[in-house]
Amino acid sequence: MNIVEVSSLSKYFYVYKKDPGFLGSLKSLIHRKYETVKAVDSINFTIEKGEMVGFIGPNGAGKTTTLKMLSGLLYPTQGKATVLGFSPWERKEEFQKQFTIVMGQKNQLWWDLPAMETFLLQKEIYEVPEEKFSKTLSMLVDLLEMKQILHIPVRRLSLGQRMKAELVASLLHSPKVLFLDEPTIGLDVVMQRRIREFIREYNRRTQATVILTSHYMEDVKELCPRVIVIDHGKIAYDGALQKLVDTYVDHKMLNPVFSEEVNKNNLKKIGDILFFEPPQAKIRVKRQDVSKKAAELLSLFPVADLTIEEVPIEDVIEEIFTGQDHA
Amino acid sequence: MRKYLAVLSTSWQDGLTYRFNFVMWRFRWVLSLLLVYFLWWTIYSQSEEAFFGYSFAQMASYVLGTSLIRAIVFSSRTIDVGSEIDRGDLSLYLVRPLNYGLYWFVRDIGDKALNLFFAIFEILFLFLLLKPPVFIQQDLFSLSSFFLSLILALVLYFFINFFLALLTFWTPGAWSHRFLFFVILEFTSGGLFPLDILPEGLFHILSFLPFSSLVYVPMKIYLGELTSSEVLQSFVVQLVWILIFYVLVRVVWKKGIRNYSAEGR
Repeated sequence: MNIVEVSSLSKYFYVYKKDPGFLGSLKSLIHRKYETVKAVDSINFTIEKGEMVGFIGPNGAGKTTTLKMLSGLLYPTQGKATVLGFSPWERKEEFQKQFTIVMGQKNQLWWDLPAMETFLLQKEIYEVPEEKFSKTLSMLVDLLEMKQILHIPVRRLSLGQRMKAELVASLLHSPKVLFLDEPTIGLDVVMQRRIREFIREYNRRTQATVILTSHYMEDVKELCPRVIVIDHGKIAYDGALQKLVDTYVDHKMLNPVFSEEVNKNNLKKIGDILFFEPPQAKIRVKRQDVSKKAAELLSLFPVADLTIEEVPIEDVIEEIFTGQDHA
Repeated sequence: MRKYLAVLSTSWQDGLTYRFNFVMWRFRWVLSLLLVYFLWWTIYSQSEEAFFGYSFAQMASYVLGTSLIRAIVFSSRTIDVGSEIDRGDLSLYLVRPLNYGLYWFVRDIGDKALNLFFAIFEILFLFLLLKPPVFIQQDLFSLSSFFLSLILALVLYFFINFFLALLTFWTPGAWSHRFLFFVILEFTSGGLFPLDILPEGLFHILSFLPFSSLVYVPMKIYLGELTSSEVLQSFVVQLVWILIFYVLVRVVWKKGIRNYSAEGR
């Protein structure tokens, strides 16, 4: 069953342009030039129940705009989209009670009150029955290990603690669809991992469908088997993350650690040497040759340790966006 | 409706979080009350005559009464609506099963109730302290008309403010029109002085604008200075303006929400 269906969805913005400097400001007071920006340009995709999909792309690619249309915050310029069978921008209550959007840079908690007050208000707004509320709340609070911060005014919480509280507030009505826009932004590595583990566990327990955007590739790599790459408002790739890597990357890295000194020139017949600082080295080899070259390396050189490594996904994405050849 | 009661309760808790701030806010109100009272007291103490046809007792009743009316009608949190639209925080409400206008109306009512509750004690205290020669209305018709007029005034004030705040959809960051509004409001609502001391032509124009029905009209009704047909006419004026601003709010909201770009870094 398709939870999200999007067909030829577009969103154009009309932004006003100003020449630089004070004179430019004066000119723009009298005569304004507007420019059409195609933030989202005729995209198509469907997402099934329980899927975890990552939207990736550079800043301003159209990821957030797409999420905002799917949450009913923006009206599309053209095209169609349904979420759980609803047109999001009609903002029907039945729809709103079944999805949530977490915006990593927005704060829905009452700043001067403890997070618990926001939770109680959410309970009433979403009309969650008492029993279900306390069950959901205790599950979320346990998963995020945040029992001790429930009654502290939000303004006193750290960024990480606040993010946890934001997540709880967004999930108290047990939504079936989660749109997570940069849920780990600004958090330290440990907290990022926490949040990631939480999202994965939440998906496993509730079979909720998740769409996630993040600048941290680690988030996407860990959580989303499927990615949709958006660039300049268009879908550049839609499919398994692994396949994206396979398609764009035709090489791997051999990282040997030698037990004795070796001659750098001899090493060249294995592959391209990217890094040579005895006893360590980094050699790039063709993907299809990996096992052959690794065996060669092991038999011809005094290797103490060897790891075979994929090209980091960050580099792959960067290559796609900068349009370099897939060397 | 339970959800809006919860909004009310949360809003109260929020308002009472900072005791010092709250006490200071109330103190400011009492101080401004004393200020206008003594201003007129000084003016009248120069001579025994009536000014603009108002005796001291009438003027004292008017300025103290309007202070209370202003505290009820003009206390509003809709200032925040504009900045919520501007900063894109409106998004947080739009995705929830919540009526944004009703949400703010409830918060306004909460604020007014809280202020009124404390104002009653403060006024009692001032009464015992100053024993001002103010007029206590005992006529049931005047009293009930006054309360109705007051309620219509605060509803009208809410819609005017909400309408102005919604204009932020098109003029991001703009504050100028609201500032202009507050200046006009002070002068034309009768909050500073009774409007009927103005030249007749000007007074006549003002009585058909929405502003005079916010403070001046309810006060006059309380003082029992309007005939019953004038009272009825004032209700009609208030209702018509409420209707006009209600429709404006609906139209502007519908268009604005399409224009809304859900900004926010």
